[in-house]
Amino acid sequence: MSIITIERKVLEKNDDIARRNREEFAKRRILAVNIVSSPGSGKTSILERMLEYFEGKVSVGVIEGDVQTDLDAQRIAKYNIPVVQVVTNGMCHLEAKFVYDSLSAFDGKDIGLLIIENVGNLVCPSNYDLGEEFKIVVLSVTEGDDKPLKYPSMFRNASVLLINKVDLLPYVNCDIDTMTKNALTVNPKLKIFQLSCTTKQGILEWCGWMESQLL
Amino acid sequence: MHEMSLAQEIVASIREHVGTERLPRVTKVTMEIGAASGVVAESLQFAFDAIVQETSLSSVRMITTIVPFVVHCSHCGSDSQNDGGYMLCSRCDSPDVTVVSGAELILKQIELKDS
Repeated sequence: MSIITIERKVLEKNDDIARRNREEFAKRRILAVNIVSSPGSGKTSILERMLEYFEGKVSVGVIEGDVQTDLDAQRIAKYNIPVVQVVTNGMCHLEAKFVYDSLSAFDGKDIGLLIIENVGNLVCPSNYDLGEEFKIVVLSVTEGDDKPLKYPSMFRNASVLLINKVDLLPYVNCDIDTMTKNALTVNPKLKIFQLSCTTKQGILEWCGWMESQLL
Repeated sequence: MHEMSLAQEIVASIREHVGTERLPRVTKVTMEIGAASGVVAESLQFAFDAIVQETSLSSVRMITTIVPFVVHCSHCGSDSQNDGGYMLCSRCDSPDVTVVSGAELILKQIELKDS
């Protein structure tokens, strides 16, 4: 019998490509962020509000990750910005190589902000570094205030939490203070914003903070 | 179910380290799974077994060890276990912590029988 000692991270190859992405972003002076959440929490709607805010201020590029269809890329294309749709064909997360392969679409476009919208899933994308500066996790009030405790990995690995659909608070059984407390229990350093894409509540504050990160 | 992608990475790693010729001699692969890694040991084993079926690795057993989630506190200086996977010192409740272990997925070793 013989034993080969490996002691290697299973995602080492992904992490290597993420490092290359990070170097590429630094070289091109791009701030890249990775938006993660469950399906239907409002990632694409938040993205649209951000594109409206940044129009004429900062040139934005978008990578859309979905299991199937290019519906999100079609939504984003209306804003006349470079967008790449990555269809994962069943895979529940984006990997660093998808981002690396998409970068050529932004050649010569002088992008300042790259927003990567991950596949809707509150577990799997947390394991995969894409080379982003930070992760933004979106949680809508309709999902319940206990989710940070149930899915700690995603909230631990994110820097920002966007609590979305706050206009629905009167109609759902969700206590926003409990949700905030639970999120901060998992990750006390989370920066938290409350938003509604329908009433636009909190959008200016959130986008303003995001803009300050570009300086 | 990202365990399927992870299992594919593990199989690729085994192939890379062992080489095609020695593949049929592999008997065991040992994994360390962080308690807060978001990886479910049973799902990983299931995915691995499904992938290696009817290949030269079909008789390989996957052994998994769970590594507790431990954080180091720069406030009180202690290392403490936090089963919830929270970024909080279990001793003094300070948020000034860094992860020591328990968020990783590591391929530890591969065992081969003699030819």
